[in-house]
Amino acid sequence: MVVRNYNEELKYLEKINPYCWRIKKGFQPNMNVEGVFYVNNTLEKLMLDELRNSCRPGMTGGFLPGVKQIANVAALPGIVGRSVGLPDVHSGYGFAIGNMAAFDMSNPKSIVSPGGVGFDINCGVRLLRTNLHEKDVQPIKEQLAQSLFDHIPVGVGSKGIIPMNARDMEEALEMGMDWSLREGYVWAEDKEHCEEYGRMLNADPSKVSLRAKKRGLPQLGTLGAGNHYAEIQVVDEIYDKYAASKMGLERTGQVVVMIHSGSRGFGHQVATDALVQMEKAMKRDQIEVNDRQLACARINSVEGQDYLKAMAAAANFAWVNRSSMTFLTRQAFAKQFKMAPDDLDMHVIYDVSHNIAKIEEHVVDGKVKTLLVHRKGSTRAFPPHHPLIPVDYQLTGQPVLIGGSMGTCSYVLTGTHQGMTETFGTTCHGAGRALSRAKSRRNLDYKDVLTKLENMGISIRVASPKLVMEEAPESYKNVTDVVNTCHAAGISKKTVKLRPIAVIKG
Amino acid sequence: MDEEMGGFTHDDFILPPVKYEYLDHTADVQLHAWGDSLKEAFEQCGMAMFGYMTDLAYVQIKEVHTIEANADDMMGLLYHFLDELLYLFSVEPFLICKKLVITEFNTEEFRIVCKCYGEEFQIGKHPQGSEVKAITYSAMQIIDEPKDNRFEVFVIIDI
Amino acid sequence: MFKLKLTALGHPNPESFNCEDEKEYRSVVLWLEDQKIRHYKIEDREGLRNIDADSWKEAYDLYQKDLVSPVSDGSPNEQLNWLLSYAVRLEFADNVTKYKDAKIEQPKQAAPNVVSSNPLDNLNFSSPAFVNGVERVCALTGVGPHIDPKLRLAAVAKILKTSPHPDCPRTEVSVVQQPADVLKLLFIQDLRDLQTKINEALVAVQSVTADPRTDTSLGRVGR
Repeated sequence: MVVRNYNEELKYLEKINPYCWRIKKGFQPNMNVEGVFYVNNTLEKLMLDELRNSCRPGMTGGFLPGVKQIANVAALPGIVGRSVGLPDVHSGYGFAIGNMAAFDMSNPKSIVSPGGVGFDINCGVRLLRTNLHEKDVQPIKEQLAQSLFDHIPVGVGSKGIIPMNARDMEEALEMGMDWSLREGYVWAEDKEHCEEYGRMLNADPSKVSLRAKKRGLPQLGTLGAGNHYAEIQVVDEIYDKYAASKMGLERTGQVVVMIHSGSRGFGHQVATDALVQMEKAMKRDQIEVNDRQLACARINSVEGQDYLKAMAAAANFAWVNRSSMTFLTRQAFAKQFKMAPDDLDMHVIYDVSHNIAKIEEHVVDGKVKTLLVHRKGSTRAFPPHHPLIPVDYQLTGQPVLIGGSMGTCSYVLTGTHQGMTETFGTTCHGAGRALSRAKSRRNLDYKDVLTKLENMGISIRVASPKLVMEEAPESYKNVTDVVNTCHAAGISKKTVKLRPIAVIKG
Repeated sequence: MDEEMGGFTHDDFILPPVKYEYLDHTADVQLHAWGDSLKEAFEQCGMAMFGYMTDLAYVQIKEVHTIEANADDMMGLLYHFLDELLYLFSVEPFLICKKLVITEFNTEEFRIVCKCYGEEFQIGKHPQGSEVKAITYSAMQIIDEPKDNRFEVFVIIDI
Repeated sequence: MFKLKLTALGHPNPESFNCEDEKEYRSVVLWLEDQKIRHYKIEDREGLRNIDADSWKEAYDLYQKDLVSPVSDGSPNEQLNWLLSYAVRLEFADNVTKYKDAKIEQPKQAAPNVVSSNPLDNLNFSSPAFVNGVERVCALTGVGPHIDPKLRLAAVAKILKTSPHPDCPRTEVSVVQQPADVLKLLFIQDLRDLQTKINEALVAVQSVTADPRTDTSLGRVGR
């Protein structure tokens, strides 16, 4: 690979408008299409700093800078349009986190890559509304936070409390949220307000290793650790009154609950298994990629198809997982307020997926094409009138749930037509890390972080004290910068800002 | 449990010195382990991973389980060795290990057999650290230089 | 069972008839022969009239044979069903004129409804208005001439499906936009009704299948 200094590298990058940069062909070898990334001034600096650091001699870091990873993805066979970096992009395994890429299904050389989905398959966010006001919750906030912590299993080594045997698991993997619905853990309306209606139909549990199923079984219905959380939030600001009211968010101070979790050990193992398989497929089919971490297989190869079927099963696992926690959350609230969950109007507003590959139809160069869209650390954001979004959001566009980092705000956006044409209906997913975990632990003090959260009026229950530093807001990019960039660039539209009042974390 | 303890010899309770550290990495963590042999560096790397999941000071040696890992090359061997350990923690017996002893370290057929000493992970007894999602090959390094007495490994784990 | 046919034939108590009850079964057979079928002369109906006698069965078998019932070897229910249908056929044949009128009434009401509700169904494809309209759309989409305007319209439809929509002239924006918006809103309303029905169906199924449980001994929550 050619070694260039920072200034030479910059020649391949062009700022095309205040919120968007173009990555020209040649920045990395064999680019089939151009790259693009969305940043504002603050995020731009972080992005370019990362590139500058990697140009210094003697760098032996693990991952390439995000901008290089976006360009390497642009060199994958069958990619169409552009390789897109969202404002919260940071380097990850193979694909950058916050990277979106679409591959032409009609091109026999097109690939599917587990690295383009991520280890935590269908990690996502679900938002529940309530008819409570902040002043109803404030006096019993601590008890409510504790009650949530008592209902939802969190943290490393935690086990689910929903009784399940191996057969239940097989059914859940095939049925996704329909399983939760059948067993009575969720409401019919929950399914309506969920991406893919909470079930990927091509899921095939027989394509999943026993190892993955064994890892998944005890963890179903657990929140997990790391950046996963359940938060009680209040509506802080409404930007789009009409869209907000369609979501049942009528006034500031209204209480909502956000659940951020994924497919747990099950998804991690499915991804791990697929990477091993794909290494072999790449050798056989002579697929050349710029980075060994971009393990992939042709979509219509056995490995490619098996991965898509296993990935769909993992996606279903994640929906059942979030559904189980929805059930536990409703129970916790019902007990605290001594009211039935439906009297508290605890409906699911929406449920989005962050790490997933889906077959979608998009217009490319004026023609409708069927594409395999990889979204890693990015969210689908379909515009108004799109047939795949729920009827209630046909006029507003799909709700996009952007979870902030611990103690910072979260946002609800809606999809736009511009996003549909520019980014294949994709937008950011959250804050995106800025500081490494080790650096966070060194620079931040456990007590300081907790005091700061307390001063902000946020109750916190966390299983691992170490995580408090690692997940402190200072370790992340500013979610407001990220969301404002998406809004200004027009790829999605700000609807509601949410402020946390209690956090449950691994 | 006394009956179980009966199966252990005094040596089983002697703990190895800590020869590992955690290095900086944006979203993940890099394990760096070393030793007087490559075998020891591997053992240390495994313990480093468990040390990230909990505080090992709270773990007692109550059970021993044996794992086996096979691969096509050295990097693959390190990867599968750690993956087997992660699996041991993720499913029955949910074992968190305080000490690892590799009893077979075959660098020609790439095979490891390892005795894992520890106990079942119990919330409340063991502090919850970070969850390891997966082992990765990214920036994996195995330094095996007997003439300089340098044996080190670097692994990034996805958390 | 057999309520509809018994009612149609004017049986005194079609609601309560229990075909499993041997005695009731026999009475109905006799009633059918006496009142509707009248295959035998009155004096020949003696065998059927002895509904308490063991010999009734024989008489019934013979009766079916005489009627040439195709299901005389079938189950009692099948046999009775055929008898009832046969009686209905006879009843109809006796009063063809009366029943014929009754039947025709319903379709006559429905047919005009269907036509009037959808203007596209009674389009006159050879009318000058239609031909001119097709001509205009063809000019916009670049479809060449053909004698059959329907064929040209099919070609336009194909183009609209596969290629990006041509921008309509500025003067026509609202002419196209407004009806399109109305159609979209009507569609959303239909979709909402459908989704509500789906949800109701799901809830109905849930009342049978749902049994959500938790078992805290499986895992440890909170501190």
